[in-house]
Amino acid sequence: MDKELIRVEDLEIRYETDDGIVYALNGVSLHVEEGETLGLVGETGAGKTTLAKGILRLIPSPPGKVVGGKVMYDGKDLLQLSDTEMHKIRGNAISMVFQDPMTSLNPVMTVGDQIAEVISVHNPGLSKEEVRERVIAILAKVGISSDRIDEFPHQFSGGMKQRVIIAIALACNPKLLLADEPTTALDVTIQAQVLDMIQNLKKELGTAMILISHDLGVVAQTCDRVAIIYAGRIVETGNLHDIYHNPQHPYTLGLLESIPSLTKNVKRLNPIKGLMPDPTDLPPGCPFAPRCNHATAKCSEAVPELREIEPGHFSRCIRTFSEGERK
Amino acid sequence: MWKYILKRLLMMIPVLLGVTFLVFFIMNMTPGDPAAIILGDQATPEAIAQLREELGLNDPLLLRYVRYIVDMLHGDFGESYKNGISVASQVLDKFPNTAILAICGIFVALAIGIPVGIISARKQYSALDNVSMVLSLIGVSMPVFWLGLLLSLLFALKLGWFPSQGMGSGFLPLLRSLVLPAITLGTGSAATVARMTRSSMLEVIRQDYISTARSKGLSEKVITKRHMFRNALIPIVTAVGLQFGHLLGGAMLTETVFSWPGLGRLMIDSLNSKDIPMVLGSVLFMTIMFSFVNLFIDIVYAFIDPRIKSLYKKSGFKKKKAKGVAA
Amino acid sequence: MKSTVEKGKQRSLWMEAWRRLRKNKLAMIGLSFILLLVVLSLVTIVIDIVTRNSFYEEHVIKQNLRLRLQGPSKEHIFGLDEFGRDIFLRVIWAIRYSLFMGTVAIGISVIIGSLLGAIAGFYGKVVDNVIMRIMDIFLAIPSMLLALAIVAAFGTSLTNVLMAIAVSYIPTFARTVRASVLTVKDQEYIEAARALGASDARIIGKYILPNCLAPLIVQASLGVAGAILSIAGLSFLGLGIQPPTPEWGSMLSNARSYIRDGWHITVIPGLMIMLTILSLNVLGDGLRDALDPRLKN
Repeated sequence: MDKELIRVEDLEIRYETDDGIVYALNGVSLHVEEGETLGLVGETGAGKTTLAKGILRLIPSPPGKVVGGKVMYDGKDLLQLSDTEMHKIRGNAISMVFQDPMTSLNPVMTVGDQIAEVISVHNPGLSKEEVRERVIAILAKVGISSDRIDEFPHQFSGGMKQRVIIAIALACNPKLLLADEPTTALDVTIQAQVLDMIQNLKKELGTAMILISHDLGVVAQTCDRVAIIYAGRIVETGNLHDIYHNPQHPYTLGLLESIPSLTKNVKRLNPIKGLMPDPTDLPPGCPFAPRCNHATAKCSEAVPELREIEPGHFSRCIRTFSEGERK
Repeated sequence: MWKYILKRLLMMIPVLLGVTFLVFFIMNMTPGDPAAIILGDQATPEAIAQLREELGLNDPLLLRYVRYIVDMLHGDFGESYKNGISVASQVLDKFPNTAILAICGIFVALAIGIPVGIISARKQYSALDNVSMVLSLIGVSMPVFWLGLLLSLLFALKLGWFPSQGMGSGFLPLLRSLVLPAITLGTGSAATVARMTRSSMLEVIRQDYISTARSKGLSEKVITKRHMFRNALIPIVTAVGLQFGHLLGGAMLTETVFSWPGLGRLMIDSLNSKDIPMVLGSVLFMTIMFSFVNLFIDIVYAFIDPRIKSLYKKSGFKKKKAKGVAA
Repeated sequence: MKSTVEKGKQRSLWMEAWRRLRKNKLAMIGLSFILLLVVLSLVTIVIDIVTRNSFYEEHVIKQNLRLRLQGPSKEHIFGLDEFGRDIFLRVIWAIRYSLFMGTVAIGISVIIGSLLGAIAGFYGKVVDNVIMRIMDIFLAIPSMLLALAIVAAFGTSLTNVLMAIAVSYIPTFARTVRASVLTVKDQEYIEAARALGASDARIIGKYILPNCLAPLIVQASLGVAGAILSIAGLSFLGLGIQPPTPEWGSMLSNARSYIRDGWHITVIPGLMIMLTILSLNVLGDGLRDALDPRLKN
């Protein structure tokens, strides 16, 4: 087994709003090993972005509040660090790429300055010229020519902006990259390019990554392991093969059935019926039970524990599914 | 950029022509015969008729308007009905006094409004925020002239710290006499600027690029200064520009309260004595000043927001669109 | 069938806004103060009608120099002014010149301004250009100057003050409505209505104006505050409501000469102006938050 890089334990995060308490994360645990890519999959509102922002302590407070849990990195709990210590982690050891490149860059600063900023804050000894050289180098890595260094974000296309954001995230060779749906907002043709680029840079720099996505196709292409998140809990986690070929949680099953396939001849897609429960008002039992074809009375009594089905493959369901049972 | 400024200057011409026509038209609706006013009660009808002929009052309005414009272009705003002295020289004589007052008023507004707004936004819902927002609500609602009266009642008449009337000559006496009028004039604007700064900062705080800046590991201080404030500045500048119009109105009231020998006083006196050329001249002068301030504000935009600047570069006439981007 | 559903939804939107407004304590205090002023003022108007102005002549206008500048007491809670008149009564009688005149002035500007704005936004091109350039000319003159010039030219009658203030606010409302119209105009449901053969007037009246209502209401409540300030300002300069008619601004103007002799004659009328404006401002802020919760910070 590789060396463990980061471990999230029982992370609980809430948002206290006028309309009630939003239970965004309800005890999420996961870990990432050095250099590996973990795919975090779930639908809108499942808590994916909250998890990523929670790791970096970027949850706006109020209304957000970390209620419990740990984020262990390098022998320390990130949640206990002082603000100054946390500043040294952000952008340096752990960095993040946000979903929407159109709004993630400061419109009144040149892209060069925005990249330079992260380099100079974590390398206070560098001269202006050295910083600029590094900016040019990282721009080259993400495929942007150096003569655009003094341009402003509005002069860039969406794909190019996302490259700049990736450059910012990777400028200090982080150990972990949190990529929050980095390609969702981009054109389909650009998506593949950007994804390839992230993959290559990640390999080159040896960076581990948590790739947040709702697209199981993208995850299949890029990830080593997968965690499925539903209503603020991990419902299934395992390596790529476990998840795609031996899915155990009915929600994972549902997700897999709802993607179109080119190889299998299916008459129509099977979307999961119903909606995710309201995060201000979660049911006492398994939150997926109301939508589940296999639900029994027992499901609505208590939230099932994560069970290890096979080594490294966990499911939060009281049932175990064998090959034939999945229809 | 220069091309744009030139274009804006050219565009000001029709507006100012419209303004002159409007004001000229309104002022010529004044009941009472100017000739009779000039000559006083003892005048014979013959003398009045003769003077009317000399002043060109029997000509059609439009002809008189054209004549007025032609004279105006030669720097001739006519002569006062009251004392026969040229309007231009009297207006220019009083203008510096109003300018000093207005500049100090704006200074008070910015020096108080911007820091208060920033601190309030950074510490939203704190006791400090609540107190300063209540104070600025009161500030916005305070009638200028009442504030002036209260200040002079307290600081001039009761405590005797500052003079309650007039304008001191010499640097220190001038400064002393400026304190109360400048605070009077600036308070309302300070409150507006504080409210605007706060809401604009709060708007910016929620933006994705602030999350990006945080994820880089920058300190809150740097984020506030470099990322938030510059982006929040555009609406603040707009507010300051609009405040200038209010300030000119407020200057008339402030000048009245403190017997400040400025343009506002001159205008009120002329209004009371139906000295039409004086009123016309001072209204036009103030309006021209106001237009130049607005032009200046538009140029300032371009320096804060690169998006607007590139629009200007493409076409000088896309001002409306540029404002859309800013909004 | 469809229209009733639509109406139900619209009503619930307004109800929702009202529910949010009710939760805003500050705004409700503001609203209560305004309502109190309205009631007090209506009472004075009824008294004037019933007594045929004799109460007004006797207690609000008539001078009693023997008692001049007397401070607040049990009989005269706000004291007496420089001519020995009861300041409480004068202040109450003056409400109509501020609140009602301000409201009427803004009402006029709202009607004219939104019509101009709607026409400009809806028809665009030349019409838009002509209207908005004229509005630009009005906007180029600081509003107080414009009002002053109008009053100076036409005289200081009540109607002239009213018109002066109404005119100076028209461009603001024209701009507000035009902006909303422009955002609504190209929405698909307008196209759908047009495809169904709705006339321009119907589209403007039924679809476009209701959509501008929220920003208009907010602007108007703040506008009334501004108008009251302008009326008081004009009167303070001696160009608005003329003495002996009680008006807050002109009361302050007269108090100026006696500022050393009694604080109450300076403080009370100003306080009335401030509290009124403050109430309208918090109400306006509350309305904005209630009508557009997205804007709330």
